[in-house]
Amino acid sequence: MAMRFSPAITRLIAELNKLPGIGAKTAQRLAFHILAQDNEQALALADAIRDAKQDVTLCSECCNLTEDDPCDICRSQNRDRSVVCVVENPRDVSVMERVQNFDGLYHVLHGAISPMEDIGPEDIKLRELLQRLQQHQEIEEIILAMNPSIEGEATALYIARLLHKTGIKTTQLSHGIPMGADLEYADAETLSRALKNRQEL
Amino acid sequence: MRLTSLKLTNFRNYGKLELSFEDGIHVFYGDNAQGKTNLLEAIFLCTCARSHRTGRDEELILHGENFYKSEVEFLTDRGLEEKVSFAYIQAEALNSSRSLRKMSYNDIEVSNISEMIGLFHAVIFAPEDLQIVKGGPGGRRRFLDLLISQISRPYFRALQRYSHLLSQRNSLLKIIRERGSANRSSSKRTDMAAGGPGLATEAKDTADDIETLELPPMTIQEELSVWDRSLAAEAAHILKQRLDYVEQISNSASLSLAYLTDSNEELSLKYKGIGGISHLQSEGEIAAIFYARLQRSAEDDVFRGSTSLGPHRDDLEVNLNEYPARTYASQGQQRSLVLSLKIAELLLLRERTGERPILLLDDVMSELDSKRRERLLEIVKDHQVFMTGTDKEHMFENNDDPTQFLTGGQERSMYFYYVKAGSVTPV
Ligand SMILES: [Zn+2]
Repeated sequence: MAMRFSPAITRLIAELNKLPGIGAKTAQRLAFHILAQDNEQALALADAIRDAKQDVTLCSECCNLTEDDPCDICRSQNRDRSVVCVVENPRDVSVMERVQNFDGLYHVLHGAISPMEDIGPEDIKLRELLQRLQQHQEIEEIILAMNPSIEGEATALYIARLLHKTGIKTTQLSHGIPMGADLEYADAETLSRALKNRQEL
Repeated sequence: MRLTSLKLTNFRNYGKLELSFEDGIHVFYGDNAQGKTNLLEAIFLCTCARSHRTGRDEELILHGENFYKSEVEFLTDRGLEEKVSFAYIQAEALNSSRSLRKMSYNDIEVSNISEMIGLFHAVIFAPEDLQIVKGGPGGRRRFLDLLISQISRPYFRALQRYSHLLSQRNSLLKIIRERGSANRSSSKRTDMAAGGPGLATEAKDTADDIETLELPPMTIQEELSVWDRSLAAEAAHILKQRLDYVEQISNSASLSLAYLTDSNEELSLKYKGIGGISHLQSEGEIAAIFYARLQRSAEDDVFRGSTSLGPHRDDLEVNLNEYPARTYASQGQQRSLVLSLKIAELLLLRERTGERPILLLDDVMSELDSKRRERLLEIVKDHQVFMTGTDKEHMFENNDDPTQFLTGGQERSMYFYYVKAGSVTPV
């Protein structure tokens, strides 16, 4: 029993429905919530989306989301420029930063290899990583901090293979993070232990 | 363990049903197609989230409804009262593109099936099980997997991970095959590229370099190795367990057959996988051998677009007196073989879990002669049993004392239920 709404409302519901984790019912509820708000509030949401979309770009060094290029971390004088920690998502950078005992740089892949979803090595920020290694000879170690999922592990192995010939030391977070648990959900202590116990691939 | 209650909602031909049970032998009787087997099916489903008759959950939903639920309460031999429930909700009921499975253990929702396996134990013996001897390898692999999974959760997880890795590898094989035929120059779509989610702002001045910078070429073997290493590790775990268990099932089933039939016919099982692997090797050794074989078959697999070897292709050979039972055994012998395998399953489960599994007998008692029937009931004399049969008289073969007939002389409490058109009446 599909309900009928005016075209503008239908469009809003459809857009909300495209967001991850938002089903048809929730999209409807959100749409009516937004319409019930006063103008200022509703438009603040629209503006926030537009501004974020305009101002946020990828850092030309580490591919993390940033408003200034290069990003804070890449610009910082207090970070160890010889170590780069490779993660899947911008979220993972925040998690690592929360731990506060990693002072190197990051590289964000924006995904993991997954043939089932037609995501190959060329679809994640690997070329950018290789180029970065060429341009910055001071990088001595790469820490792979993929999620301990099947795809994360495969991606780590793939990168390890790529880097093997370069002779750069490659380590991987391993101990402590349970298989299947995302980095996002690992607590700080587990993560710092994992960082300490990283293994050479 | 002992089943104390069964609750069904929209399951097959049951809209709503609640039954409670004592220890003993429970008999569901009534005409065909009234829903007797559905009861055993619902109980069995609670062991492994899968029906013994179909892999399609849709078929289990009452006509016109959009979900089913089966819930069992049981008393373990350790004395704990536990509850397990499985529900399946159609996608359309959720306004979603995907259907949903809901599971709970003692009223706490569980998200991964692996955590539900091995809680409630039942062994079913149904007419379909003749396929273990007569049918294709799939049924025999399922027999092994179900048995080992109920004992070892790591085994079930290895199966899950193996099947996921296999899908990834097979997808990659097809991609490599297409790339080969498309001559590598075809432009790959980038809109879905996991990278820039709409962020067109690649580093501006290096964007051109990035486009032309190619990832160093890899051989097919190297590309596959990324998946093959994990695949070999999971395969090794699966193979090691299967080889160990086949040995034990083979011994136990052989003894059961001798006891059931008073014969010296010999049942033996042989695991048929890639050569050069035995249960005497360590998991690490098996993984190394399997990895090498995977890598060696890379080109062939690319050509086929699928993985040609591994636990998903293996078979279990059932032999009677050293000849394949599939072709050499008579119908009656095949029936005895399957029954022996099922008894072995029951005994192994009991030994390894410390719990006596519930035995479900779907329409098999009338197929057995009185000696086999008696011996079977002797073996399961301290297990709770649920069985189906068409009509009471026929089930007992005009035996004067049905209780005597069905219990094989054992002191067992008997409970009868008359099943008609989706209603169950205790008699
Ligand atoms: Zn940066």
